[in-house]
Amino acid sequence: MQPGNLLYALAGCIIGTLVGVLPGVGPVAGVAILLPVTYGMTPVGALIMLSAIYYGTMYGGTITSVLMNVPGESASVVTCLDGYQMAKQGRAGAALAIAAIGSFIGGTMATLAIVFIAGPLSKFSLLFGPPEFFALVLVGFTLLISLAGDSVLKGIISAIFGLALTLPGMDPLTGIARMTFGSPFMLSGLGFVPILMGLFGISEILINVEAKQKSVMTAPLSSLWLTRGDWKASTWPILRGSALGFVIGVVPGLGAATSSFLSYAMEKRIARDPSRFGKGAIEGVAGPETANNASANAALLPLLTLGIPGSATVAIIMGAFLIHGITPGPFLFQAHADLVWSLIASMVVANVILLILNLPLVGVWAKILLLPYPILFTLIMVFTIVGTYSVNGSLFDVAVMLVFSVIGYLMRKLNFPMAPIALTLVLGPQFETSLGQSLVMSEGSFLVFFRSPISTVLMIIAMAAVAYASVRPAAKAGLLRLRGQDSEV
Amino acid sequence: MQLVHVLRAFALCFAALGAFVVASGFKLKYYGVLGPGPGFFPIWLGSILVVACLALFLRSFFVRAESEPFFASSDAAIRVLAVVLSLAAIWLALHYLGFRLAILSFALFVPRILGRQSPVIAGTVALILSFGVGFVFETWLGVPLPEPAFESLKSLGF
Repeated sequence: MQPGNLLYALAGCIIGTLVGVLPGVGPVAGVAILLPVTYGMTPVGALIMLSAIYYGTMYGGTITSVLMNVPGESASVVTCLDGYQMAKQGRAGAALAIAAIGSFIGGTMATLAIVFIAGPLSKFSLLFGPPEFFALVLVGFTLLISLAGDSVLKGIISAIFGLALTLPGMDPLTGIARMTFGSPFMLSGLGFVPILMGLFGISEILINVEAKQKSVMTAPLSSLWLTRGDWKASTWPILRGSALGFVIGVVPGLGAATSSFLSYAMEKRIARDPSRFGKGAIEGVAGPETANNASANAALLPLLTLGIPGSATVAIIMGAFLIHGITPGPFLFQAHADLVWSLIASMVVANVILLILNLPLVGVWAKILLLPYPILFTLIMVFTIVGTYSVNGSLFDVAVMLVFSVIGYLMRKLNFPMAPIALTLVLGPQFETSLGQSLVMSEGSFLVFFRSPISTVLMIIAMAAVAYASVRPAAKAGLLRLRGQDSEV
Repeated sequence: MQLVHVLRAFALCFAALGAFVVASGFKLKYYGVLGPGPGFFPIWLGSILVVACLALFLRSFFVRAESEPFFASSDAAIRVLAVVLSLAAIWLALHYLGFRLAILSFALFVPRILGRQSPVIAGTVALILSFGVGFVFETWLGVPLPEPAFESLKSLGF
């Protein structure tokens, strides 16, 4: 780890925590908005910084959950249940301390697991050809659609919309111009950076504007020291949260929010006195916060080894890879071993930095919450516009961002899941290329996707995900009816 | 305006987008000697989008969950509309007035829509975001920002 890279990790942690503290700006919006900041950096520096921003936003969201009962992002929702109660009991410091320590342990353990698994997994991924890659991307799409949100139909529309956005420009197989409307600006396509910033960054701001977000007084901070009882109560939840978060994080589509909810449910179920949960039980903070950070770190594993981002935020980080001319996936460890291992080392360093930084500075972050939201909103908008313009020096990109901010706002209001759009937008060209190459190899036969064991298994998983998504609403309705019948008895 | 009405309009717009994608695909080659042509993917994608959107449109007549209003209140609608219009205005302003003047007017105007701010604070923030950020990006970081279309403004240093 060179000094420059350490500085990027430090800067990323600070910026990420600051963004995470801002109510209404989650990790997806934060990483999308800050993506252009990394353009002028080296690829290693840019990726280290964006990853550190990602982890920082996860911790920043915890601060607002504990002090304000406002989750900074979806993975911190469950922290509000016990974290804010601890704050009301004058134990905000202990809640934030255990969250920081749990996040550090979860993140570090997930990173160590990546160190041992990444190498063998990347060697395995060398067996992937176009049919295997197409099947793998299809698994990613179908898992995200089936797991993201209640409406599978809306998930399909989101995913197809994202794929459709990759169509304008030049056909990846033949190089023929397609849907450019005769405009030279469209030859290189719409550009996923302005789209992502609009769909994820500014749309979230518009949602907050509608809700008339304003700064609120926070619960007072107390000492950060933990008692012996706190340590004893938190040890096993932290260890369990690390394992659970890692497993959840590796699977595309499940996300850090799922890991934190599952961890909370697990801790409550196995606790000796479950009635303490929701009233300031430290286990209710330790487990979920560990799980969500472990999950965030683990989500990079499928990206680095298979080229499949596990979440919307990681999809944007994948965009950063592509911007710097690096394609994550099977050949990444061979072609860019230095970059990958630097990034993995930076994950450990970033977790240490977050622990050292956030415990003493938690009072400073709490002060930022006192800034009026209109000022924060204006600040975010200006940096977003500058960031988008700096991509190509083109106001066309700014126009694209603004149009997609309105589309993103409408889609969020109408409960369309947004994660599938990020995934398909980033993976769309590779998806189309691998489909075309597979059909060329097989002279037009779709059976090519069932010729190798790897692609066959992946296609079966994709079909199972589709089947699950199809029966889930009916199964849920049936279960609700059964419960209703039970209660009548 | 109810959520379900907006959903139906949205579904129809996306279905129209899908139809447009299909039509664009038909203008290109579907399949060649070497494999799929540039029209192959758009035709299939657009078709799936049309079918899915029409299904969503039809389903909206049977699902009651989305019968709530689209905006929580008229104030909320006005706030969102005002911000969206201001974003459109800033894009136009960037073309003609350049970065500094466009951001200055945006930063003075928008906080007033979103909440009452002291003129001193609003003015200070506007100056920092327009001239301060402009200086940092152009002079320190070497990132060019939009220039005014009028020579007179350029000569004044905007």
